[in-house]
Amino acid sequence: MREEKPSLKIRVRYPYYTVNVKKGYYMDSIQLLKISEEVKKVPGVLEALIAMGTDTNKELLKMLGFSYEDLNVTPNDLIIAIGAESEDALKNAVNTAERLLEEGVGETREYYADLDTALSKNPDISIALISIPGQYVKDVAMKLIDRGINLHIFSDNVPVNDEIEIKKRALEKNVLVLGPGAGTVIIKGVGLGFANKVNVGSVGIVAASGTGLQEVSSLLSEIGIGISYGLGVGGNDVKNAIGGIMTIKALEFLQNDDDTKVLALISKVPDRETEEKILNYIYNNISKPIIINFLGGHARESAKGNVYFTYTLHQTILKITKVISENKYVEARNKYLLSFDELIRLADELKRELSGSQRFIRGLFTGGSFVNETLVILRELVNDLYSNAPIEGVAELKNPFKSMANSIIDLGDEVFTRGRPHPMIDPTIRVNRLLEEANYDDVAVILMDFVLGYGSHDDPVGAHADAIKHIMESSKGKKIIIAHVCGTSEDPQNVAEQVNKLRSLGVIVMPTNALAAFLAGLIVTNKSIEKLKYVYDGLIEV
Amino acid sequence: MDKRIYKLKVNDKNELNILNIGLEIFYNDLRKQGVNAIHVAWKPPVKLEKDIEDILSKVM
Repeated sequence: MREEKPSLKIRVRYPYYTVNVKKGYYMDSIQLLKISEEVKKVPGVLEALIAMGTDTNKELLKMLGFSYEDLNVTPNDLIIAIGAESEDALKNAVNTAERLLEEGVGETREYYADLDTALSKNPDISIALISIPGQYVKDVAMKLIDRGINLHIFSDNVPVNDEIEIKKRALEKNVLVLGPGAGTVIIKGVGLGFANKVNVGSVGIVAASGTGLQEVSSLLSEIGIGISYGLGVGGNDVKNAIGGIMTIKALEFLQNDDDTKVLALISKVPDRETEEKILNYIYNNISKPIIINFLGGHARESAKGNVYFTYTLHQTILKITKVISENKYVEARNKYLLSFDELIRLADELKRELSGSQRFIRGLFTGGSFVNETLVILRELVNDLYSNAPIEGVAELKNPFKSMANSIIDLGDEVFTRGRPHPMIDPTIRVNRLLEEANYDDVAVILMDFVLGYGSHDDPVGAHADAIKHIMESSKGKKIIIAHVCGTSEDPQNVAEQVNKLRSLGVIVMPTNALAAFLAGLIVTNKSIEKLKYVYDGLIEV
Repeated sequence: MDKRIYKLKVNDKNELNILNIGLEIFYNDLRKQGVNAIHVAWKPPVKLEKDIEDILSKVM
């Protein structure tokens, strides 16, 4: 496949700029994001990036148009890059940055400077949420496990040997370790990490798939089906190196929990041996109804009446409602399903606006599970499908910073998040990528997710609004943007407001991620109508 | 069920005590949800030079 070149490169130059490095200086990425935003408010400032010196941030520095000679910087150093209209503005901005780095911009009034003091003054901790750089997690985790405290490890990049040690110790001490790399945990309506405000109820979910948990819990909650516990276990847990230790422990917890009546297991495809181990456990120990979704996995026949398999998150939601009650199933279908004919009609309408050269989809996702679900659907509908997080049947996109043909990008992949907040919090990388992708003449559809809830950006749609407006105007409406908003009406950002904002910008908003992917596929596919119906029946319908 | 895992269960008084260590945004969101939460402002440990570490490990 030939590499395509964008017709316009997003590069800017600043009349006055500085790129400085503070050696051996640490501050967390969200504090640094807030400082960058404050510095951008200084009159005359055009751009500001104050961030740790990771490869991701160096790449972003280039993307934002800062030119520099060989920058001697490591991930333990801080970069201060500011572009301004005038020398005075630059000087003011540098002073503001220095002041904020010294004073901080946090809201926290009371905090503990060290873990030991915090633990000695608060002996009754139920669970600890850890979000520190991966290489330091083990020391903190072991200390907490030894005190019998359950863990939610949000941090990525924890060495796998550390993860094994942590989980073995947790087994000895009989505590749950959710993560590393677990984005979401829900405990009786309380969300830890990236989580939506959902109703409390009878469905318990174990998930090696953070946004999968968010999608299923949000959409169930919106039709009045509550969640007892949403236990994210992190993607590594279902690999053979770990062997599903905590997936099984979490399933055991939900089986023994009186308030949980229906279980769901949502996971990226586990390693084969681990998949067998988990399924054996389920067949032998889980007596409650359980819906299993291995996103991207092979077809499976259930060997027991209470165990059901689905292919997509969308089907998982419908199946859970079907197990709960016929009324809820009908309600879910009415709210979350479009018929095959409706989708075909919508795709035909949208196709009419396209020019002959527009034939590819570009997916820019913040949620890894949405990437997986999109690939599960698109691999049946389009050829030349690439991703930086491929599943079986999809080619690997070697350079995640450059798309080819149909490319579905996971912007939450660690290559984009080293030393940077996750794109659900900081949209900078996605906004730039969106503008870049829209410049390719052969792109027909851009697919996006907007994930609401605690932990996420205050107004994710608003943060992309200028870029979307620019694309719609400059392409004269010829670029189709299809989006799905994952959230609830109780979320701080409010799902209806975000959806309305997208629609007012000309974006097509679909009720589930799977339908967004299916519609995008229908627009560019050359498959027969019979094949399309077969895919719809197999991956969307229940 | 073992009482340590049982700690995850929320009792009638809605008591779920959470310790947050790392990103402050998560602590602030827990407080917004009305949860009992404390925050530990984590900093990376000061890195000692390898030879000093070796000496210290022999002495201590």
